[in-house]
This record gives sequence, structure tokens and C-alpha cells, in this order.
Amino acid sequence: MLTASVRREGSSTFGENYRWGTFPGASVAWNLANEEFMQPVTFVSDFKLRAGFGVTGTIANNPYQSQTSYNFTTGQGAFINGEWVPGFVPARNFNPDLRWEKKEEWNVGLDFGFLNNRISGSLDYYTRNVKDLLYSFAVPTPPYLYGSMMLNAGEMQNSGFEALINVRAVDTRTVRWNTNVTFSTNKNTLVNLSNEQFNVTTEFFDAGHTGEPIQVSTHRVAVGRPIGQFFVFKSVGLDDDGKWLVENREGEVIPIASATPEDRQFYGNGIPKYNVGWNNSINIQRFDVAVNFRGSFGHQILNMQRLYYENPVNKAYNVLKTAYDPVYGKQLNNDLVYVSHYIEDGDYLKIDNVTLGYTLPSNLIKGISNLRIYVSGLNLVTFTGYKGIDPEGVSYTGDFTFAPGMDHRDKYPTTRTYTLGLNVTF
Amino acid sequence: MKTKTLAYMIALTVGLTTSISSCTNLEEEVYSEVLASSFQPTERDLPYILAPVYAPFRSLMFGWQGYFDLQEEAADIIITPVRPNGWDDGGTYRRMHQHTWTSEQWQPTNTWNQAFSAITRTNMVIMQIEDGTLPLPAEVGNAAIAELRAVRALAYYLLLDNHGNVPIVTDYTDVSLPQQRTREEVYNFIIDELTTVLPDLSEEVSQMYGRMNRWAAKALLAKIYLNAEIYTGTPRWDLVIQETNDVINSDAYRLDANYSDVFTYTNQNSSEIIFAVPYDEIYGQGSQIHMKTLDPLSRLVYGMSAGPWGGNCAVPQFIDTYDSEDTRLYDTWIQGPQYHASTGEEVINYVKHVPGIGGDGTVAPSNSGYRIGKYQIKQGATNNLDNDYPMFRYADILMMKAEALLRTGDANGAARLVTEVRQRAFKNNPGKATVTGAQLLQGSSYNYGWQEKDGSVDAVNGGTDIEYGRFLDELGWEFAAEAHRRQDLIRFGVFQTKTWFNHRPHPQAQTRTLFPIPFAELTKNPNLTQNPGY
Repeated sequence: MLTASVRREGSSTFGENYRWGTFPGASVAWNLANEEFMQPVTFVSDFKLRAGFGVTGTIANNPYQSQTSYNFTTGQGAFINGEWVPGFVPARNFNPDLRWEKKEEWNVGLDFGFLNNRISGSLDYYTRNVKDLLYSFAVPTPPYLYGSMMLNAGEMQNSGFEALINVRAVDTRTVRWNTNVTFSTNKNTLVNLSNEQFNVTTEFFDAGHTGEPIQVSTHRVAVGRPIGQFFVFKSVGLDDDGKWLVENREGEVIPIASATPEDRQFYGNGIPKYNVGWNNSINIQRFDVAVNFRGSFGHQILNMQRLYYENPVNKAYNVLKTAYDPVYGKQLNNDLVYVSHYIEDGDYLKIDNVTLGYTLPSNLIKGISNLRIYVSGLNLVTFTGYKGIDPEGVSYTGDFTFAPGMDHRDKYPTTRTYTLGLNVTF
Repeated sequence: MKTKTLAYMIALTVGLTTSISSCTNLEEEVYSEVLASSFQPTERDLPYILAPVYAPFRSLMFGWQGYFDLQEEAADIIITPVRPNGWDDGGTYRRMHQHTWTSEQWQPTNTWNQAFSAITRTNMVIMQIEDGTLPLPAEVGNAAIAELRAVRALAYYLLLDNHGNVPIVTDYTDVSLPQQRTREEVYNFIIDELTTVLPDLSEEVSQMYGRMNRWAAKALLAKIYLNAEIYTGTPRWDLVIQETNDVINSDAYRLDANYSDVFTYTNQNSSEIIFAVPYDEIYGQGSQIHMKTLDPLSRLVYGMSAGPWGGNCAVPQFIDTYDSEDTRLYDTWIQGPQYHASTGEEVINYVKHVPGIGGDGTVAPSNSGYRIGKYQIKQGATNNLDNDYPMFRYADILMMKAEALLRTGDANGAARLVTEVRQRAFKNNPGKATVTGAQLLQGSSYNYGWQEKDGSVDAVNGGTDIEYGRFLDELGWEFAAEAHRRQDLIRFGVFQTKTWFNHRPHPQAQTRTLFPIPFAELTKNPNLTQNPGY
């Protein structure tokens, strides 16, 4: 089977000459199980090979980004000729050439079913090339009026593998157990970063921010490197005064007071290497049970609660209980600073959802055709070495594309929920 | 047969999935912004186009971690110690005090950002006038361009003084990465610009309040010449005298009768102010100097709707230098018991003693340290003050001339000018207003040394060895809390050499007289190299 499509889309967020984009897509699939030569292989009920190619476009998430326009505002006014007047200011650095970000995706996949689909699943491999990456890039001031602007710059490559396996493990009239396992992994790299028109000539840009009062960026996105890497002073110990010792760019241990921003290094990555899930549903006569596990592995988290509150310097401030715990066997006595000590492994496995239900025999009560009582718990148990509240509660909003894995100081914590419920059908 | 079926299937599929979007008109009707296509200003719009050029100076001066903090907290008059309600803030105030800032310190970055914002906006308006986007009659256009170039020179002066080696950009349309210039090149550029535009600048005083007129440009020239030796290695005392004489002889300004008149919430009427950054509690917000300095309890004293935050205060060693009959001590600093606006009850008593800057477990009590009261706080003040910031005022003109005279051998001439400035501060004991040339040649009475928690001063090396130290003291008393002090300390060699409060000279003290180029700019523009020592 072959399908093909062409989309032509326009968005007013882009510059005059770049509003319309053409996005083709095509895919082929071949179900071998339907072919005659496969008929003798009876345990194969489904075996479909798939391949596809497609281009999709991403639009700027705010309107007017390409408009050459002015704000008329009191905030930028002044006292002129004896009275306060508002002022006309450029709304942004002008970029009339803003255009679609294009994602080119190749994928190959396999859908399979064995033993009358008792075992089924799919495997997928994809590579995705993001071109004309849309992002609010930092630009130098001067010559620009504002320090960042929406630009198309650079190319990013993603590739990944996803698997899903479904097994009807037990399938009798009284006992049924369905289980499925999901697995995914993804790898990405910034291939290049350039936009000659806008002088994005550096090989990297910084993303993420600690917020006040530390006020430094947390991540660095560099050409040839994966997205999501933390960029930080690598702390290796404390001196006798309780000040941090960090590794400089030559790998020597120096006091943090003599470190410069150039001594920061890549340290860990906020994007999980592997995500797994394991979902089970079991029916035993009138009882039903669902148990779901979920986990992510191979990534790091910046624990910002510890960054800000695990510091005993100002005794008048709120601190964590652990603020006075020894660090490298010594008592910390350093101003708040962004060092790798607060970046932890974020691996976790969670029992996310357990539901136990019991369905009463129908017509037990007159007029009620179905009655099910259940109890369920969400976010029940987390197995992790992470010291924060919840390694899964890590914020992926805002600047997450380039600054993942930040467990924000002021976040709303994740909750554990218990539900007792009744499903009634009349 | 099979191929034909396939062809039908393809045709069918294409047919089924083609959909024509009903919306193909992408012209936007923009309501929240003014599009360039409909931006057709005329001469009447000039004020609205000039205004944004001045606007950045508001946040630059008194904004959060702005220029005021940059000049005062790096110097020996004002500190922000750790308080029971906070003010550790990752050690940022301590770094200002101890000169341990890095290229990521926010205060110098703010000054860079705001100064270049003013510069780039100026470049844009100059372009709009020159290319006819803003059509103006020749005379109006020339005056406007002269004013704009003077504003740009003012912004470059702030960068010259603080960051030194900065790029010079004058063309709005050129967005190539600018080259770094030496401090001396920046100095020469500013002097050239100001001397070129002087004849076209307005001599008007009241209409030009808050804008760069000829006298403001001359005051700026005098200020730059005053520090020329620091900027270029060559002193220009003769030119300081020349420019200040021009302002004095213009008869356009005079000293206000009372010192406090210069700083009231209606100080746009001051006859002393040559160039101000005007503020307004509604239309020109950004002065939160009272919010940062007052303890939250002072809200009751001023009937304020907002609760102040309680941070910075005076260095006790500086307070000790005042003559107790110098009324500037009381006009500049809020001290002693403070009373409830309506009940008359005492709500807080500000004491001189401050135990330390913090970071070693020391927490300064909420009433410790005299607070900045120079900018008169009106009853019912909001969190934005009305008081304009006087960047150049007539007393400054007199004191700049006096310093130039003093340094070129005319101590008695200098003393006459200093006496003139002091007279309004010693109305209760006029005899004390008079200073002599011999006195100005003496050292400083500031007890430089390390302050212990109990207020005693160790490691005293005093101020008697400071050349013209008494004149530096005079500058302190007259201009405390006016964002002058860092520059003055550098010119008198104190910034690099002396110990005060919990500050000791930095191991690379000489390099601390310039702030680092902001780290973010270094990463964005590879043409920039960091200032020495960072």
C-alpha cells in the first residue's frame, strides 16, 4: 500500500516572503502475512513492514514575530517639553526573513502479530532532521537593540527507536492477564548553528537560567554535541574554609573564587536515554487489577531546591535539613553558586497506577445493569536515588527544548492520589 | 490489471485527502502594535520618538541592581548587609563591597544593557531623521540630531567610565559584529561628538529639563575631563576649568537655597539641576531607592501603600566623618527614632552601628544603619518615587572647577568655591562653612580600616595620607548617595588601596577600577576580549 500527500500551509507569523511552506509526505507498507508464501507459516498472524518519509513545519509560537513594528507605551516614555509623553519603541529586533522550521522524518517500522495476535507489537526506528531551527536566539547588544530574537538558525538531528510488545499472557474464561512493555530511546545532536545574516557565528548558545539570585545560565547547546547538556563548574571538594573547589579548564583543582566562567564544563544531560513502561491488566472472575510501571534512565537532574536551600551560609534563611550535612566530609560555607554538586542522577522506576476493582453480578439490584467498585492509587511508589521530591516532577515547560532536567525551586510538587470509586450503569 | 487498480487507488486516495484551506489571506490586522507600513510620523510626533531615547536612563540609574548600586556599593559610603528578612541574595552585595564580582555580576551587566539600549535607540532615531522616515524642517532636524548625539555621548560616557573598552556603534542598519575599541578611543569619540554638536544644542533651560541641552553637554564634558587622567593617562584640568566656567558664566543655574530643595519630589523646579533623569510615580516609574533602603516598618512613618524591603544603609565609618553641625548629615540620612504618621508612636529607631556585611553568619538587625533619605519621601508614597535624579547639578560644576583649581595649584581659589557650596549646610553656624586652601591640602578624616562586629576599627590606615583627602571628604558630604562615589574614589586612588567596613583591597585592585565585559556579550560577539584581570 502506498500513500502520499502534499500539504501547503501558510502562517502569518512569518516574514513576507516566507509565509508559505510545502510539506510532502509518503509512506509504503507491505503486509507479508497476506502474501501466499507466508500462508504455511501459521503462527504469524500479522507481519507488516512500513517505511515513510515526511516533512512537517513548525510555526513560531507567538504572532507578529516577523513584523517590523513599534509599541507605543508609557513605560518607554519620558519627560519632554515639560510633560510626560509615551514613546514609540521597536517591538523587537526586526526579522522579515523568519520562516518555517522544517522537520524531515524518515521512519521504518514493523507491526507484528504471532499466535493469532496473542503476541503483538511494533518496532519503529526514525531519524528526524530539523532544519531552520526556530528559536529565540541570543544576539549581541550592540548592534542589536534587544538581546534575543526569533531566528531560523541551525540544524538538529534526532534518531530514535521505539518498541511496543503486547502479550495476552493468560487468556482463559476466568483469568485474563494482558501485559505490555514499551521502550523508547532517542539520541539528538546539534549539527550546525548558523545564520549568516544574523551573525550567529558562535558554535554554541546558552539556555536555561537559575533565576535570582544566582542568575546564570544552566545549559549549553553546542555544535556536534547532544541537546540537553548542563554546563557548570564541576565541584570536586571543599577547602578548609568550606569554599568550593572546582576543576578548571585544564583539569586542575582550583578554589571557586579564582574560577572564571570559561572554567565551566559539560556535565550530564537532562534528557533520559531510555524510557520504559510496563502495563498490566488482570481479570480474575469478577475482580480486575491494573498495575502500571514507568521509568526513565540515563539522565541527570539539576536539583534546584538543594541549589538554593541546601546552603547554611545565611542562618536567617529557610534551609533544608540537609544544609548542615557534611559535603565531601566538610562543612559548606560558600555563597550560593551553581556547581555540579547539585546535579544528580535522575534514574527512576515508578509504580504509577494500581487499580483494584470488583464488578457485582448484574441485576443484583433491580434497575442497575452494571455496578463496579474500585480503589486506585496514582503515583504510588518511586524507586530512585534522586534526592528531590520527585524525579518525574521535573519541569519540562518553558525553555525545556534546550534546558531539560531542571527541578525548579518553586514548583508545585507532584501529588499522590487515592481514589475510591463506583461505576454504575442503569 | 493489477497496475490499473493501483492507479485507481492512488487517484482515489489523492482525491480523498486533498483539502483546500479556506484561509489564504495572511495579511494581519495588528491592533496591539504599530506596523512600520503605517508608521508615518511627522514633526508633531517628535516628542514621542525622542522619549524612548531617554527612557532607558530610568532603569539604568535607580533600577534594580542598577547604576546607583554599581557606583555606591562598590564604594565606601553605602552597603547592603545581610538582614533578618534576607539580603544575602547569593552574595551579590558582598561581591560588590569586596570587589569580587565576576563577568556574570548583574549590576555591571545592567549598566551595559541599558546604556547600549539608549545608544541603539538613538542610532535608530538619527537614521529615521536622516532617511526621511521622520521628515523634519532642516533646523528642527539639526537640533534633534545634535541632542540625540549628545544623549548617545552620555550613554557612552557611562560605558567609558565603567567598562572602558567597548564597541562604538553609530549606524543602526549595520548589524555586523562590532569591533572592540580601547578606552582612549571611546574617550576621543565622546569628546569629538560633544564638541561637534555643542553649537547646535539648545541653550533653553526649563523646556529642555530632563534633556541634553548645551549646558548639560558642557557639564558632561567637564566630568569627562575631570577623569581624563584615569581614562587616557593625560589630565585635562585646564579644560575642566574652561567648561565649568562656561556653565557658571551662562547664569542659567544657581545653587538652591536649601540643600534638600535639590531632592524633593517636585525637584523639577530646582534651579540647580542641569541634567536630571526625571521620574514619576505613574508615568516615569523606576525609582525604588526608598523601597530598597527603608525597613518595612518605615511604611507607617510615610503612610506608604507598599511595604519597603529594608536593605542598604550607610557605612558607619563614613557617617563618622561628618561635622555634627553639617545639616547634610540629616538631609542625606534617615536616623534615630521614626514615628508613626498618625499615632506618633515610635515604630523603629535607626542606629549607626552595622555589625558586618554578612556571609560569615553575621546578620545586621533590621534597624541597623542610617538609611538614604536624601530623596524626600512624600506621605503616601507608592513603590515608585517622584523625585528626579540630578545627574549634573550646579554644585557639581562648582566642585569640579574647585578640584581642577586645587590640583593645578590654586588651593585658595578652590576653597572659595567649596565654601560657597558649604554655606547652605552650616546655616546654624556659618563660621564652619568656610574652608581654607590649607585645609583642602590636608588628608581625609575617614578612618579607613577594617570594621569589627562591635563597631571598632582594626588595621587602621586612616585617610591622612590621601592627597587632597579633605577635598574627597567634601565630595562625599555633598554627593553621598548620588552615584558619584566609585568614580571619585578611583580618581583619589582610594578605591584601589584602602580598607573600609568589610572591604579590603582586592589582590588585583588596579584591575577592579574597570568592570568586566558582561560574559553573555563575550559569548555572543567573538570580537570582544575581556578586560584585564577577569
